[in-house]
Amino acid sequence: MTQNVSAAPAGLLRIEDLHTQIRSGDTTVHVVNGVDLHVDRGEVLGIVGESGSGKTLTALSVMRLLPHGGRITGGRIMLDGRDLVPLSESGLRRVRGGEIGMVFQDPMSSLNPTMAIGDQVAEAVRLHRRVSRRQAAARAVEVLDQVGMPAAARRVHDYPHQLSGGMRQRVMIAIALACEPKLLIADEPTTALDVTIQKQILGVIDRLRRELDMGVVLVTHDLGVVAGYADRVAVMYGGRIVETAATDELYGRERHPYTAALFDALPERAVNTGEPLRTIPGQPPDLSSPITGCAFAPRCVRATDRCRAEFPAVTVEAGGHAYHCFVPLEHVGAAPRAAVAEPAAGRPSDEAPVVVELVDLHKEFPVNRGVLQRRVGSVSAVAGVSLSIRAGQTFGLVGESGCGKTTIGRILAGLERPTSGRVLYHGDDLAGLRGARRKRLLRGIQFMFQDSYAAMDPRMRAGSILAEPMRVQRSEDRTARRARVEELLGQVGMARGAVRRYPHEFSGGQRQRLGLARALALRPELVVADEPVSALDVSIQAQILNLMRDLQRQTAISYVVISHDLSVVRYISDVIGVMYLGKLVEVGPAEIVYGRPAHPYTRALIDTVPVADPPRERARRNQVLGGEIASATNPPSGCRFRTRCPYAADVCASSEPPLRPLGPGLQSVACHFPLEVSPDGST
Amino acid sequence: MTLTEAEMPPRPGLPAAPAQEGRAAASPIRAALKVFVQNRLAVLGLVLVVLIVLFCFVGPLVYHTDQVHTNLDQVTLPPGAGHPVGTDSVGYDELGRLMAGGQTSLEVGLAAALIATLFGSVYGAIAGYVGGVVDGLMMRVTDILLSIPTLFFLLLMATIFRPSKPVLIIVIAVVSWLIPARLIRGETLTLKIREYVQAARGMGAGGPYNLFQHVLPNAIGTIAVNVTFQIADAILAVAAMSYLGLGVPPPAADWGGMLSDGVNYSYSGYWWLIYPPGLAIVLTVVAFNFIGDAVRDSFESRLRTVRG
Repeated sequence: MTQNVSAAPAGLLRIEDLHTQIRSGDTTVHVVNGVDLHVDRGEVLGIVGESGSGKTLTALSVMRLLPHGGRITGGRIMLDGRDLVPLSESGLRRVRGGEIGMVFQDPMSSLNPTMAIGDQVAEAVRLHRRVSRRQAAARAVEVLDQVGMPAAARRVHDYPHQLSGGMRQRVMIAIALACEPKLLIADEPTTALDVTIQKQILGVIDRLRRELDMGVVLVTHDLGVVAGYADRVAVMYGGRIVETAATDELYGRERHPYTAALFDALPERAVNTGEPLRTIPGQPPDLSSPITGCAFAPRCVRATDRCRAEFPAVTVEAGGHAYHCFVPLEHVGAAPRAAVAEPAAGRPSDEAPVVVELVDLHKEFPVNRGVLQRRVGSVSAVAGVSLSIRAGQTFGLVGESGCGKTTIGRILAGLERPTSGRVLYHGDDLAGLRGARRKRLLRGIQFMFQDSYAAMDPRMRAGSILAEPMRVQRSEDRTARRARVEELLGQVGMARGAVRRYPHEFSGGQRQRLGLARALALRPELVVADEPVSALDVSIQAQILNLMRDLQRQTAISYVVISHDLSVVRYISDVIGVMYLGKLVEVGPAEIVYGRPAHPYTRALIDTVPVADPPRERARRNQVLGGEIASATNPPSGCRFRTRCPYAADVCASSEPPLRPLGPGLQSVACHFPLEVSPDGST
Repeated sequence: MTLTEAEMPPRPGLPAAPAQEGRAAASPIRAALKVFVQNRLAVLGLVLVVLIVLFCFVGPLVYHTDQVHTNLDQVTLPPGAGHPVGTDSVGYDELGRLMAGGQTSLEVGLAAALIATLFGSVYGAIAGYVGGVVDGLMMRVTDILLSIPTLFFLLLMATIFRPSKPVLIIVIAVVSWLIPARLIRGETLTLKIREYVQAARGMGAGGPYNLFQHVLPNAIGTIAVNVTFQIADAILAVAAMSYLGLGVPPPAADWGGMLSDGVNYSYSGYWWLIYPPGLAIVLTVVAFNFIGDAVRDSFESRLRTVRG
């Protein structure tokens, strides 16, 4: 089992049979259970897996930056032929930052808020090189310039809070690369960023990899991210690498059933088929006790008794495709997986009655400053949005962070009041109503939170949580409420015994089911779901999306699904609205908007969302939307997108394009120069 | 239809998964209790408090002494037969007096702390939840009251009212509620923007419902910690007032007054009038502080053992 996965000469980094444990209290969690991998110079290795698969802890083991109680209990970590495991702490300090650079997920918490960014980069240089203060500062400017920080010489005096998320991540990369390491470990480097910024950052990492001839380990949960940038991909499950192959090989001819299940759960694989997403039944393994056999066996449809008894040894095929499975998938002569599915018909029609209509909605948040909290300006979060939501339909609202999509959702659910404009619900304007009438009307529109755990009182049992909407609204009596709670649990596929448990005792997916059940408790007509699956792993995400769809078929409920993830929105929505900086820039039937976008921003979003299709991802590598979202306190004149738009002309700055329909059955778009749509879908 | 997590049938040939549904859910209180018990100092503090309470309230039933009539034949007797801890300057049995004095100190301390915390918590929660101008006004009131020196205020009160147990309770509560008010206001500011409070608003719940259903119960940790520290502080305050001669008038007694009385004789070598009440005050205050520390840790959710 410790046999090397490929016959290549000793690479830059070679991990052999690595074991890592974390002890907390009287339990020991076996987080890494025998990982073998190698990375060569100039190569990008992607490590993918769901949360708890051990991918991050493998990366942290290399740097020996394990959480409290964590310890490497076996194996070797060879960097350029030298084993890092027996190294002393001070010896390892020279390696960290000097020979291996690391980029973390959250740049804000990894940067010192009280130090100028130039000083933080210079600090990294001075830790590893004997250079003067001035030389280090010069090097800082040079590196910041390399990572694409505009006007680096001026920006070195900025503090982290003055930078956007994308710029902060560039600083983190600059710190990691300040001493020109041989190896860069990037742990979910773009997970906290918007897709257009994600693409910029991945581009920076890739360019620097080539310029510096570094090895890169890219740890991510996103199968789309690795598709475009990794040379090889390792899939982890239960603290082990279950399959490794060259990217193209893995994305078409995967052999391990877990890898296949991950692909099948992606929403883009089921678009338009009208079929539910394929899910992975069961739960991830409990790593606090040693696992006998293959960790995936309890969830695997192909598993045999042998899988449950012993861990399969590695099988290496030609080309270095290696996997641990007794019952691998066969791809003999099989056609590669269809990337684009056939369109299906039968979605609810436009004739369905309108449930909610927004008319010229505006929302501004005051900006106060100083001791007296004087109002110095306002953030224009929503600026004149009109849209209507029809019965039984799903309206998908997409856009980057700060575009106002969540604000619209909150206004719809009555959590926020608009500055001006109307929210018409069956003819009543919710924006103008107060008191008991508003309270009763709002029963019909319920909100589902992104993080159900945060949205549930930790001191209440699930039963009380589900009954709370009825208690607040004084609907139903005690026995009827109890019956309704049981009915709701049944609807979302949970056992009745759940009523007595507390929120922290459920898994992420179960909590999201509870969140959905609570939103349904008052039998609303419309559920506003804010990023309903963005915190979940792919397999769990598929379960929740399926559930939402099934419930819609049964009850003809309408959804507004707010998400930054276009593939999720595309899968679940009938109508898509694309927002940019408080404006609805394009709205129309989901397939039309996705398939033939007319607004340059929609086009850019579609091009930058990573999809699990390596050749397509590589082809789109250069389709990057530059710049960052403009300030909402002082939005650009005319079209708000013009500062980033490749087609912007003078008219875009002087007059604001109205939202106008392109034709019957097509989308409406707010652009002076809508993209020409040719019949084959290219633009 | 796909199988969901909750309805997965057990697979043959596998050890059964832990029966989560069957087991009674661990309540947050029980989880907190578990952490509390793991803290040895807290258990020590709790044992001490129980012993002190037994000593003060059950002791007199077993050990009978006359704490009403002075006995000038037997003043300042050293510890010995008949008087295990000696007698004081007017002939009261010192051990019996410790018990009687302890009753006053504990009753006043406990009652004052509870009243102060209860009023302060509700006051702070309302200020924090309503916010805006109301919050500004309510908090300026506490600021003004806090700027008055406590001792000065206590002296003023004691000259206006004739000292008695209820008066002591009210006076100490009046100076003590400001701290919990500020604390709970701060806590409310963070709790009211929690998503579960917003979720309740989305269901149509109003301010009072949210305040008493979600905000205050989730601030219970802070409140509980505050109560224990307040009790310790109030016992010290009783002692301080009595020490200054503003405590309960004789023949009633409390530890602070006894200590003050004993200090008059410090040059006469009557140590049994000084150390026992002093020790009683220190032990009680320390015991409550230990408990307070442990209560704070118990409500710190990350210290709770998470069920795997």
